[in-house]
Amino acid sequence: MIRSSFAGFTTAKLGMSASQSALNVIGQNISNINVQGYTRQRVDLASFNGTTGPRQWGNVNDTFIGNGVVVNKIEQVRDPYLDLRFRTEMTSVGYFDETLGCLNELQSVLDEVNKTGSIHNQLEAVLEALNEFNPQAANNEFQNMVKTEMQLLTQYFNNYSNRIQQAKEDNMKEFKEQTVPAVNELLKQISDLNKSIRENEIMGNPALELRDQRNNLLDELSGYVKIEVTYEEKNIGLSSNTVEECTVKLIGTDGNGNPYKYTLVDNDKAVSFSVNDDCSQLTMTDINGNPIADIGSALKPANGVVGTFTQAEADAINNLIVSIKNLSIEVQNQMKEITKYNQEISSYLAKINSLNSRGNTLHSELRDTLKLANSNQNAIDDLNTRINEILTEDPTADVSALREELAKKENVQKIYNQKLYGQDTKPANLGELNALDPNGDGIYNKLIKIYGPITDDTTQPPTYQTPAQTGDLFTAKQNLEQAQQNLETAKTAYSNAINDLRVYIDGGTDSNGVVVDGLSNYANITVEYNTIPVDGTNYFISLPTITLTGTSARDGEGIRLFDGELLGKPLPGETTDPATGKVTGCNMIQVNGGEVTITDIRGVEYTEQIANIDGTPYQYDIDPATGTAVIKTDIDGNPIVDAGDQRNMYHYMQEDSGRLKADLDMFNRSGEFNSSDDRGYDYYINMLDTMVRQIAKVFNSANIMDADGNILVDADGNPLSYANALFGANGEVPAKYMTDANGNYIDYAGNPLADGAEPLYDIFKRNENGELLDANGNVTTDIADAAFDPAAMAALGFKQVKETGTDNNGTPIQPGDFLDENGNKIDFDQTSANPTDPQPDWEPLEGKVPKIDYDKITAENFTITTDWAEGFTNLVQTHDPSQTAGYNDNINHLISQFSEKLDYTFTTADGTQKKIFNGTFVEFFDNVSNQLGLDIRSSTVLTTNYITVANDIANSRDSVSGVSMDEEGISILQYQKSYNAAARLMTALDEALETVINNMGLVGR
Amino acid sequence: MAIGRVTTNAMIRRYTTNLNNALGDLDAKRNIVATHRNFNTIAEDPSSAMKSFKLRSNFWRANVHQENVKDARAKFEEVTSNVLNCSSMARQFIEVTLQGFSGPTSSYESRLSFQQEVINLQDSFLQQMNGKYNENFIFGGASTKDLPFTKAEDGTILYRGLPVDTPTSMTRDEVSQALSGTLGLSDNPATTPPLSTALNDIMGTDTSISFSKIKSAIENSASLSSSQKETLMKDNENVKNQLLYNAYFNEHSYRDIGFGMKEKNNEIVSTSAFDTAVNGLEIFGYGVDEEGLPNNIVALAGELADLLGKENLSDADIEKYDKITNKMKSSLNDMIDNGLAALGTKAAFLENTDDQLTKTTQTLNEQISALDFCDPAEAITNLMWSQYAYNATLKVGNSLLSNSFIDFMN
Repeated sequence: MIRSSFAGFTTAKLGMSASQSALNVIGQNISNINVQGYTRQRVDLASFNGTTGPRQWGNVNDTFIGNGVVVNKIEQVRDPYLDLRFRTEMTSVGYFDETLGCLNELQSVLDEVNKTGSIHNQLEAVLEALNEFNPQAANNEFQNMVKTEMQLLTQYFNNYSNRIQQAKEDNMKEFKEQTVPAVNELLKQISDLNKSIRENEIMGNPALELRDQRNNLLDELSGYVKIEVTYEEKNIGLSSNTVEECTVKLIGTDGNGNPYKYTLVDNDKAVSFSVNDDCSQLTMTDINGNPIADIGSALKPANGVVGTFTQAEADAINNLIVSIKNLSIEVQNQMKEITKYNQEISSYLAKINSLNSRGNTLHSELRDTLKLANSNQNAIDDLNTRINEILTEDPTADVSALREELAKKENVQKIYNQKLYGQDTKPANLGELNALDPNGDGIYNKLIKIYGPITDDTTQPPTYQTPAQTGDLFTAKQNLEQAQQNLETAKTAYSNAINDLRVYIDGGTDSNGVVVDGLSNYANITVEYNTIPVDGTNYFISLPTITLTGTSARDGEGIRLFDGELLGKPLPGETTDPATGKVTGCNMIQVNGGEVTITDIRGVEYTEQIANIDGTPYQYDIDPATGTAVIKTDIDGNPIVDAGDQRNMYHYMQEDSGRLKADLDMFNRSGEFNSSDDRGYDYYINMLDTMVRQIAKVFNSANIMDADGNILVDADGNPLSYANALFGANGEVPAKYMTDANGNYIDYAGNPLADGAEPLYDIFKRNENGELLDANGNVTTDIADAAFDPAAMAALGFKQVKETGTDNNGTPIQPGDFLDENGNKIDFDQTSANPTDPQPDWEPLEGKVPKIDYDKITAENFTITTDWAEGFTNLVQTHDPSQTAGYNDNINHLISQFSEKLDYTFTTADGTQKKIFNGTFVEFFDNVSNQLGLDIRSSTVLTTNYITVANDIANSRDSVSGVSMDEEGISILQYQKSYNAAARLMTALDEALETVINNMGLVGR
Repeated sequence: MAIGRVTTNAMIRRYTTNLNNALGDLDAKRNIVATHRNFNTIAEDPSSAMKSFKLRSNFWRANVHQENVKDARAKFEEVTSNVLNCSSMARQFIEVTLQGFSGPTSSYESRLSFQQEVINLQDSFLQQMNGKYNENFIFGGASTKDLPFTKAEDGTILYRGLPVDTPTSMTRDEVSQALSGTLGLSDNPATTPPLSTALNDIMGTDTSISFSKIKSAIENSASLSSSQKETLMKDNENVKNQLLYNAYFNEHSYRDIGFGMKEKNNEIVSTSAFDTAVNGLEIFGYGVDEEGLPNNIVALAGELADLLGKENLSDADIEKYDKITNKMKSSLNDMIDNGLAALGTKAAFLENTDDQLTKTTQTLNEQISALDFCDPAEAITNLMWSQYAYNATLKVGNSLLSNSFIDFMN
């Protein structure tokens, strides 16, 4: 190959240019060395060789020298695997760091290691005061000391509980007002950056710095939620250019705990999170901004309310989908039919028109031809007459001339006959005329073919048989009529199918008079009608697109059950009848035990528990009043089936992942109290509540009743006025009222109370789980069998009868009965027609309540009672009031309770008691703070570990993507030298050419 | 992957982390030295914190127990001193005054003046027996606010309303009288229940029943109705007195002195606490002997005074005088032998406990110190080491950012 003399200059120029580019990139790297998240850039150089392909006539001795160097592209040096690992670690760091932050706040309240004023110490102070009170049981100033210490104890509890509550509220405020908006902002920024990067890429700019920004944001996002980032190259337009599309997904779980990915950012679209007021529900829109609900809540069980979602209901939906598909096909087919018949009708109409116009032409032709034929015939007749006349006069006369003329005329007549009848002779009569060959060329032949037989040929035009029974015109008219009929039938079928489609979607009566439960009866659906062209016609039809409402978890498209545009695509598990071609079944929705699987029209499978947003299965209670089933509510208080439900993403996030989850766990999880693994704010509040309830219970019980549960009485058997509750809520002693399982007030017969009615005191004997007991101490569900609680009755001023006898009215009484203050038997029948009747008279004795509702006492409202504070109530020193002052058995009892290992229980949702700890007061409290200490310690260790790993990965990432000053320095030298070398090459070439141009051929000059 | 490629930022990050760790460590060590504490939050050392809480509880309680012991000791010292006063007064009376008195044979006047001395002795005794500690009467058992011993108008000595010379048991006749008198039971005509049935129910075949048994005997009686039982125990003087005896001898005033005061069947387990109740009857005597003479030394003195107040003394009186004076000696001995000895034992027990608790608090204190508080030498050494490490890290940092290849380029 012959190279151009100046080609070398280009090579040198490319070399200089490449080196310069490289130096520019080095400049960019060095100047950005301190920019957070900056990724090292590199010049991708490639050797340039301009030759292409083998050359047929090339010289075998040719040498191929390259043409220099080209800068392919400027690229980033980045390892996606390290990004992945880094983000995974950051998710864990985020979770434990956030948890630790919350726990540290709790620590500032509950950790008493370095505190002098503390609940631990105050418990000891109360014990000390009791010990001092012990030998001074008769001296009130010592009682006051105990009272003061106990008051202080209650204030400590109030303070601790308030501070925890405050910390929780502050954090919730921050979560709602800062954290969630920050995540939404991050998602928006990422999607905006995606858009910018894409636009840049279309313009040919790789937008490396924007990618750095995006990576920074993704790193940040990974601290909040567990994410997966994927990049996909997409072709744009017709060129081979591609742009990158970035998708960010939240790695969570489906309803069954299996990994499941929720799209957060789809290229330039992003979801947004929102959280409800008490931070129990984190909801998310799909990328189109629509709420994401749950499959479980989109499918309705029978009648929309009752029972569970079964295969029968799934089949009903499948059958409806099949019907909707068949109807859609029917709509399509009928539209084709309509088109066909319309075409036929217009073709028949055209034919009739053409036949009519041909007939008219033939008629006028007939008229003219007949005129000519008749006149010719007349001439023939005249000639014959003349010949006869001549021969009659002279039989020998020469008539040859005449005969010749006659023969001519007769030939002409034949021609006319041919034209009129398609034959030489004229038919003798109408019969012959009508028997002419219908395919003959004669005018009559044609007319008869069009109009049918002629009844009178003397008229002009001829008279035809009426009504016509044959003839082309007749046939054409008949065909037209048929086509018109067919069109009407097709139109009816079309509108029926359109109508039936709506019936099968919304319910109603179909065109056959069958009542149909519409699809909307079984599922919450969104229906859109799209205009679709019908193949082979110029027409469009409107067919539905049916989507399960608000179930778009993946791509914002929702779970599509039917799409009119995809009629050609078989439904999942579609079966067809080969004879009719109709769809006979599908298995789009399948129920398998507690799971429902939906395969959408595109073949995407969704499997979830038949459950509401929190994963609880459908459950229902039978309403005792009406006997109908009522759907239970889920833990969020929503009915299990609720079209408005949104998926609570909190329940679909993986454990221990990200700040969002950490905060939500701290807000919503209370360890043993709601059977969760994490102990959030509520665990500690609940523990303090449990503790104050225990303290209140121990002290109140000792001050109100003896060990057998009988109220304390004086020597005459009257209740002691001062032996009342010591601890209560906000100074009051919360009384226990008659309530049902849901906490609603009821009367003694179990019926709900009218709004605003005074609640009724609980006066029955119950076990620890709140179940009624009969006189023998056995559990009973029938309130008529329930025994009265003697202490509760005594607090109301009623005395229990000990011996059989009569009351003051002479009514017989027996042990177990109660007497009122007048000594009369209380006649109380809880199942009577008016079970609240006796209640208005029942007022507890001053300072007393029949039963105390300890669940109403919390660490926040825990106080000594106003009665005790004001001295109406006293700390009971002895349970034997007949003894003189100075007895101290009750004080000793209370002191011993400080060493007693007690069972601590709490009331579960179903009203039963669950044990949470066994130990003394102090042990219980120490256990609470120790639990916190252990949680903090383990979170600290985990956080440190994850941070160490994340730091290591960040270092690895830096070792790939970071800028090294030394390296860049070396590169500066390298490219500087190569630049110089290329420049030197240019000088060398210049010198060479100088020789050629200026110094060659001057020999001898 | 370019493992091993060291970049400036990675170096700075690593260095910053290390510097931060070193500073954190320094801060922690400095904190230990400054607060003298090994840990300042539970999370720093949960198991030590837990132990510390437990030890502090124990320490606090040991202090409370020791206070209780000291208080009980003071009370018992008071009790002992009062009893000693009584005994020395009695001894003085028996050994000196009584010796100096010529006996019932002396003149009426001298008997009267001697009677006055006896009455004075009685009053002095009563003063001691109603002694107080810390505003509380010490001989009243669990009752501390009411005078334990009083002298009725007729000179009867009462312990909390109960004459001290009340017999300590009821005879069959007395029980029978109680049943017939208070409840109106008889065999003829037969009441519900018949008298003999009720009597047998309570007494069985015994001829007498002691105060410790009578309560349960009545309560467990099958034939009496509960209201009859209640009436009998409330309205019959004799029965009431027996019940009082029973109550007084069964009352306790426990103090928690660190034996793990516990309840069993809603009663304090007697071995788990210290009973500080001192029953005056037990020390000064109660009931009557077979001669009908009161066992209580003050009541006995009352008998003596009554005797001396008589203008004419019969032979029986003279015999009684001898019996009384003799019994006085034995009563005094009882008081010294039994009462003081028992008190001495209790006082010694309290003293031992006090010593024990002192040792316990010391040990606990040491344990708490060892657990909570740092060894200053070790802490300061650690601090210095951390300081050294931190300084070294700082020094490294200075050289870390000093030079790179670029500085050497031409």
